[in-house]
Parts: sequence; C-alpha cells; structure tokens
Amino acid sequence: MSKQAFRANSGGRIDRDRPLTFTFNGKRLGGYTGDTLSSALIANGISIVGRSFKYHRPRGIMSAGAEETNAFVQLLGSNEEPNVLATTLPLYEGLEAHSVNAWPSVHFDLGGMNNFLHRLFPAGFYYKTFMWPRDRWDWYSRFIRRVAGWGAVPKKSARNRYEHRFHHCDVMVIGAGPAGLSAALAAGRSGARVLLVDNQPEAGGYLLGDSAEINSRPALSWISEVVAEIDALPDVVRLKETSAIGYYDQNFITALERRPDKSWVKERLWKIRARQVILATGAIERPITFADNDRPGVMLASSASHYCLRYGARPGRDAVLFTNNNGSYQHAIDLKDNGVNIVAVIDLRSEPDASLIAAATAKGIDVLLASQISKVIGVRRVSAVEICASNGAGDCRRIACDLLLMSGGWNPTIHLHSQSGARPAYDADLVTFIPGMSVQNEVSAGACRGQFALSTCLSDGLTAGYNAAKACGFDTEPKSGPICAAEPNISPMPMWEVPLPKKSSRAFLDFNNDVTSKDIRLAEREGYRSIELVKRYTTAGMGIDQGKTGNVNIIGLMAQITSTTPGAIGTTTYRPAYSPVSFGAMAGADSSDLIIPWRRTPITDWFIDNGGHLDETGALFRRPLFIAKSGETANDAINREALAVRNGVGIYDGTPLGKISIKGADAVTFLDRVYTNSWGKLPIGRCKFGYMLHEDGRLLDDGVTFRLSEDHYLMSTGSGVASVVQKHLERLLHCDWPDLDVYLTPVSDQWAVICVCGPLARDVMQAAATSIDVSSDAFKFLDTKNCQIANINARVSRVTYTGELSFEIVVATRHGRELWDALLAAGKDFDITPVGSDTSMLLRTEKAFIAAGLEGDGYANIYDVGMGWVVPKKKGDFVGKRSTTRDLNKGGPRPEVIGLLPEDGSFVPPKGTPLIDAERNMIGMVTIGFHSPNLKRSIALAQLSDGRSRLGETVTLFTKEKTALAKVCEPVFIDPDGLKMRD
Amino acid sequence: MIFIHCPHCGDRNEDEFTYGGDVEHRRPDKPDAMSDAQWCEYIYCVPNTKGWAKEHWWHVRGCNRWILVERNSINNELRKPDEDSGSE
Repeated sequence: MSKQAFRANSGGRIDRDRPLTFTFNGKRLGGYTGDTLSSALIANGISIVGRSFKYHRPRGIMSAGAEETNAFVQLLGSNEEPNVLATTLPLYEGLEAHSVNAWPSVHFDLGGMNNFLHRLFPAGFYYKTFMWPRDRWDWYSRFIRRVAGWGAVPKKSARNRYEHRFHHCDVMVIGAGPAGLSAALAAGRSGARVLLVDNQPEAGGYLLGDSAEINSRPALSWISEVVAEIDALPDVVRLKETSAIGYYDQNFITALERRPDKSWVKERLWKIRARQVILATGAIERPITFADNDRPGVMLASSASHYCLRYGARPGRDAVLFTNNNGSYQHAIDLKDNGVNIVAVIDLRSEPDASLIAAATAKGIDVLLASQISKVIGVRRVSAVEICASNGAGDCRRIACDLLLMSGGWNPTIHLHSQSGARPAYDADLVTFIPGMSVQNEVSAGACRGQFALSTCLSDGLTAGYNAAKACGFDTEPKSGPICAAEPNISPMPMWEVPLPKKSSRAFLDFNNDVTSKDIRLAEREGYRSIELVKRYTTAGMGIDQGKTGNVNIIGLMAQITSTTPGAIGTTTYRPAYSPVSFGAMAGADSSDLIIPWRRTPITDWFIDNGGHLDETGALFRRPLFIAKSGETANDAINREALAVRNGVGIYDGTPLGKISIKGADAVTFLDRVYTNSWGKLPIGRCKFGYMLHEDGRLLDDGVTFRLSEDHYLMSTGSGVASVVQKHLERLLHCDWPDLDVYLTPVSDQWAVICVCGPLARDVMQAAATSIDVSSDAFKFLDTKNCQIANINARVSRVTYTGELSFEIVVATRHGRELWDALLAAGKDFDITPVGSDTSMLLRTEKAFIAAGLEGDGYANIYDVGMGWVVPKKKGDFVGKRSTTRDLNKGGPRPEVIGLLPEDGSFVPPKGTPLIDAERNMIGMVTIGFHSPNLKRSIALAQLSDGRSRLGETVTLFTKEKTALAKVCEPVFIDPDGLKMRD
Repeated sequence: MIFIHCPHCGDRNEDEFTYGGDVEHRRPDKPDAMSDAQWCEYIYCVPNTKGWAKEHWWHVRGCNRWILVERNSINNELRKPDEDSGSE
C-alpha cells in the first residue's frame, strides 16, 4: 500500500489515529476515518476516477459534494451498488469500488476511440446516425447497448434492509450550514417541533472546510456550540447523512437517510409533512466553459480548498485559479496557507475588488487581470495551461501546473424551491437564478437565496427560523446573530464560453453526459430554442447529476447565442429526486415476502399439508387450484375432483367470497337499485342470485344475497371484486342516495364458508350431525337456515356454483377449520373429495354459470351473457339499466355467449381463441375451454356475434397451430333443467 | 401526496383516501327520460375541471366516510368546501 503522498501531516477533520484501507480499481490504498472516498483518492494522488459517457475521456474528481459530475463508482462487495457518488460516500474499512464507464480500465479505455470520432456523435446523434437503413436499428442498438450506460446492475439481490418512516413537524429545516443551523436554533428555542436534515455526516455545511471566523473564533467552534444546544432541545430532531430529495404538495417532503445511527437499516426514506419549511441548501460553484475544461486536475475552486481544509487532502501541488468573481480569492489564499502553491490567479475581469488583489499579492500570489485560459495541456492530468489576454492583445504564455481551479460564480441550490411549484427568478447582479415567489409555506435562507456572505447567512437563518416558528404559533424574542468579518460582493462577470482556440476544441457544459458548447450551438442552429427542447435534444442536464453544475451555464450560453437574457430563456423543470435514490429505498420494507401480504383462510394450512397446489386467485388470497394426491398430474387431480362432485361428494373452501352486511329500512329499495332483479318478495330465510351492473351496463358482479331478518340482508360477492363492489355501493349510498336508510358493513373476514356439493352431499350433512332436517322437502333450493353442525353454530344455505345438490355452510372464521375437519370425518365413508378452484371453474363451465370477468368482459351486457331473463319486464330504474337499453336501441349484432363443442373432442381451445367466418373475419372469442371428464370430451364457452341465432351452426376456431371446427350449442352441457341442484 | 382534511379525522395523507369523482357529476334522477346521446354524455364525458372543483373522496383507510373536498386541479391547493353544499 503506497503512502498518501497528497495528505497534509496535520489539520482537517480526519482521525489520523484511525487509518482505513480500501481498494479502488484493484489497487489497495489508505485513508482515515472521516474521509470520503473522494478525499481519500485525492490524498493518494488518484487523478483519473472514470471515463466520460460518450467520448470516454479520462475524468477526475471535480467537486466535493452532491453536485459531483464525474466521480461515480460501482461499490462492490456484499453491498454492491452502481453509480455511488464518491464525494458523499464516507470511507469505511475494506471499501471496494471501481470506475463505472471504462473498459478494460480507466487508464486504457477502448471506448476512448470515440473521442477521436467525436464528429460522428453530435447532439442528437441517436436520431441522425442510426436512422438508415431503417431496419438496421436492431443491429445498431445491440452495439449501443453494450457501450452505453453507467455502472452495472448487481447480479445478486440486495440483502440490505430499507424502511419508510412518516414524520410530522412544525418547522423543517433543510441544510445544516450556517443559515440552516441558525434557523433550526431560532425555531427550536421557541418550542416548535423542528426537523433538521443535512446530507453530511456532521453539521456545518461549507464551514467544515473553510477558514471563516464567527465571533472572532474559528467558525467550527460556533458550530459545535449550536449543534450541542440544538441536540439538547427536546422537540428538535436532527438527521445526519439525510438528503431532502423531493418537495411535493402541501409541504410534503421526502428525505433519504443513509446509514441511520444504531440501526440495522441501510437506508430510510422519510415522508415528512411540515407546517413551515426553511430551505438552507446553500449554493454550488459553477465551472467555466473553456477548451478542455474537463481534464483530470480541473476542479471547482471551493471544492479544492474544501478537500485541503476538511480532509488535509491536497488536490495538487501547483495550482492556477481561473475565476470571474471575488468569492474565489479566499479559496486560493486558504490553499496557499495549507501547502498548495498558487502559481497564478487568472481573473477574467479587469477590475476585481482591490482588497482581494492586495491580499493575494501579500501572499505572494501572482494575479493576472483581464485574462483567460485558452488551452489546457495534458490528457491524463493537467500539466500546464495557456493564458491569453481577454482582448487578444499580446502573446499568450504557458504556465506549468498540476491543478486548475475554476470558479464561474455561484448557483443557489434552488431545486427544492422549484419542485415546490415556485418559479425561479434571474438575478443579473449575481448572474444566476435565485428563488422566486413562494407558492407553499416555504422560505429560502442564506446562500440558496443568493445571500453569500457568512454574516447574512447567519442573520437570514435566524430570521427565517423565528418567522417560521411564529407562523406555527410559537413566539419568542428574536436574538441578534453572531458577528463575522465583512466580505466583498462576489460580483461575477457573465462569461458563458471562453472563445475556443481551434475549430476542433471542445468545452464541456454537462460533464456527466458529455455535452459541449458546440452541441448547444448546433441545437440552436437546428431550430431548438426552448431550453426544455435543447435539454432533450442534446441530453444536457439529463445525467445522473441532473445538471447541478452545468445547467445555468447552458442557459447562459443559449441566451448569449440568441442575444437575450438568461431570465428570458428560463430554467428547465426541476424534478425529484435531487440526489440518486436506490430502488431499495423506494421499495422500503415491501420486498420479497412482504411485497404481497397473502391472506389466509382457516383452511389454508390444511391445503399446504395435503397437496394443495396454491396460486393467487384474486383479492390477495392464495387458493388451491387442485389438491393432488401423490403421483397425480394437475389434469389427473382436476378430473378426479370433477368426477367426485358429479357422482359422489366434494368439499370446497369458499371463504374468500366477499360478504357485505346490508341493514336498514330501505335495504330492499337499495337492492332493487343496485341489482337487475327485484327483491321485494324475498321471504326471510330465503336467498337468490343477483346480477350487478356498472352504470355503463357492463357486468360488475354476480352473487347470492340472503334475507336474514326483516331489514337485514347479507350479500355475497366474487372474491376478487369484494372491495370494488364495496366501493361501488358505498359511493352510491353516500353520494347519490344519501336519503336511503341503509348501512353497509364489510364482513368478508368474519365468516368462513365451506361448500359440500354432489349427489351424496345430503348424506354427509346428516352424518355430520346437522341439527335440522335437510331433506328435500324440509330444506329447499335457495333456503337459508340457522342450525348446528358438529356442535358449531352455523348458517346453511342451498346455493350452488357447480350445479349439484349443494350446502353452503357459514360459520365464524375461528370455527372454520374445526368444521372442515368434522365434515371430512363425516364424509369419509362417502369418499368426500376436497376440490380446488380450477376444478370449480371446470364445473361451472359445464353448467355455463357466467363468470363476470370472463364471459362478461368490458363489452358484454346482461343480455349478451344470456341473463336477460333476470330483468323483470316492468322494473324501474337500476344502475346500468339505461346503458343496457341504449345497447338495445342501437340494434345490430351483439356478442352473445354460447357453448361450443369442438368436432375433435380431444381438442381443448385455449382461452382467447378467435372464432372466424368464411372470410376469416373474427366473429367471436373463446372465453374458457376445458376437457370435461364427465362428458369425456372438450367443451368451451365463447362470445359469438349474434350467437343465439347461430345455435346448431358450425364455426371455425383459429389457433396458431391449426384451425378446428366446432358446433355452436346452448351454453349448458350438463343437467340443462337444473334438476340436480334443486334435488 | 396531497394533505386532505377529513371533517371526522382531521388532516390526513392522500394515501388513506380513494378518489370518488366530481361532485357535479351526479347520477341523473330519471335516466329513462334521457335520450341516448344525453346518457352517453353523462356516462363517458366525466368532468375534468381545470381549477377549483368539488370532489368526493372516500376515507377508506380511516373513518370509511365519503367526504367533500374542494381542490384546485392546477396546483392541488385544497380548501374546505362551503357548508351549504351538502358537506358532511
């Protein structure tokens, strides 16, 4: 392991007593606790951290924070993750990472040939280069897919834990720099519930790497006092390493907490509702656009001094500062004081603040005014720069250096303000965009509203904190802020592109997506004027960094090209998320087994233990499709179960059925309005089938409703649509018919339902000690009675879904398994056979009982499915009636449900098989097909145009493999008169 | 995620609710008296107001009541509906 050649011997907030080792691109390196990956790389003199997206140019670290545009890495090991920002990743022992966009290595990248072919990849090259011949796109895309993209999706699924947490507070402060800390302190002292989030491991913001003083003492001692006071306040929550990433309606803010303290959670997504929000998100330094400004060793001035002061990591030995503003002089002085030689300051302006020139000169720093950098020498690392006078006069000269600092002014971090719905405004003095009018209860404080001086940041934060607390009803006496030295205004000079020395020179605006100033000019020439279109055409600002450093330069250059102001161009839309978010954090705990919390019936365990083939069957239930004995195939089991129901007796778990209790004086009126049939004459202790329609006339559900007492009904619904029906009925009651005296209660989970069906069902009921007479005279079809079965209180009804003699037994859910076991024991002598839902579907197909989701699709009405007979001739209004009469008024053929008997009885037409006529027009569709063991042949149900009038005709089934003929028949294959179920 | 005021439960997150449509879109009292065209208008031309509109929301993961909400569809601003408009 090499020594850290660029590490200062002292200074910074790293712990030199706690060294760490890590691996980058296969090389073992050393760092210290308190480092980020990027500061450790800098301390080790690693200048190339990756290759650029399109041209595969070598790239180095450009910044020290969330704005980083080059240093994305693939984190390896058990926490493998692509595209992690090296600048915000705290170093840990054994960290292993490599560059994302380089093959075979960052030092020798074959994709680098793109750099020499750059004329082939202009803005919009996707749309231009690969357009011809049209049918070759598949071939091109294979090649493009291989070379495009960042990082690699981890092969293994993440073993990390993630969670979501909700939080409510009075005042949320985003950013714990000088403004944010002041705001949190002011609001916290008032007693308001405050949430302070900051994306760094420790509070302080830019002051963590700065030489500024507060109250004539180092700023960091002020910070530690304030943090101590804030942390002692009982109603203040402070989150570290937490980025606010999205700002939504009514002050709803999402924040991503990384590595929460003392927790097994890797990342936690906070969903925060704040009454008042204070944005103290600071500002991001802007690069300058000049030829080859992307070379490793070119860095933002503030970031370089941040690395030096906070981590004792020197980004170079001999530096040149290229600036257009007053703010960066102090950074040059700080670097000089910390062992980085400043060879020269190149200022684009002719008259910067005189005190700064004096201060720089006093440190022995050479200041060149009205000058600019025309050329950067060095590919893998800056080795020299060429400096010319801005007016082109005189000779240019070369200065050797290994670090080029750039400072093109400052962009307030207005992302969250813009996400809140506000429009940013352009400030010509600051040459950047600042927050506009707030549209939510939100205020910006400090550098993120263009107040860059430390003293203003502090007072701005205090004021914002007091005001926010006051707006929440907490009033305290404002205290005055601490005292700091005066600073000159930053006074940047607009400079959107330093003239390029050669036609082939390239100056980068969006480093992340390799967008150059020439791309923007090309887009403008080709007619793209709207900044939103320029963005999409050139992909500027669409990379992982979302243009945090590049966007304002792009807007400025567009303004310059079109001779207008950046304010007139405007910004593109800022969208969440501010920083990249892992899929794990978005999913939270909803992964693997918890994605769908399966519902269970009291019988589920029995099925699991006895060969039940469980599958999802709607409403989050997993039910057995069939219950296989050992050695049986699915078909064997289904055939055996179906034969048992028709010839012996079956038992079926119907618990997932939806159940809604309907009570009230107007219950009958209500049922009349929501069902197609009439309910007035239903006696107590009887039940009947009902068909329920959507208002547009389509089938919503069918099921049996029981009359339990004078004004108490119990409706059963299909298991899959139980909640849909509930909403449908609730909406009608509350919104359309509030005058009806009806109350609905969902009781699906309260009752277990077990059906005993088949010719021997009655024998099983008697054997199970049913306390009532179940003979056909005493207990008729559609009767419902309370009784005891095996000493369990039960309600038994004679309803059926199979067309056989059936008893549907309802008991309290807690007795479900007890009843099931009792019935199995009672039915043992009759060879009672548990039946799955696939078998049940086969049995209903043999009887052509309509399934709302199959025969009744989004087009069929109640007449189409052959259930028109349930609509009484003179019935008044009901939901769906008017749409049905409109269908009838329109006339013309309708898709009607019929039965099909394929001529080849061994051919089972799959669901969805088209029916075609002689001209091969589609005239219908199979809704379900089965092999019927009872009929020993295949059967199907289908929708067929004018089907009822085609009974007896032959139609053609059209499948991928073959065509087959089938006879159209009445849709009922067994017991057409229903004698068995009425037995 | 909008923040909806339920008169029974207080301010709650949107994910406790289910949207129930525009209040103005009432079920006609006498559908049989309407022409096919009028009925189609009611069924298929559901109001989609730009700006302020009164809406039904169902507090399905809360008190299970239907409530009235006034919402501005441009910026999701919410306000309490007028008392005389039949709010519960």
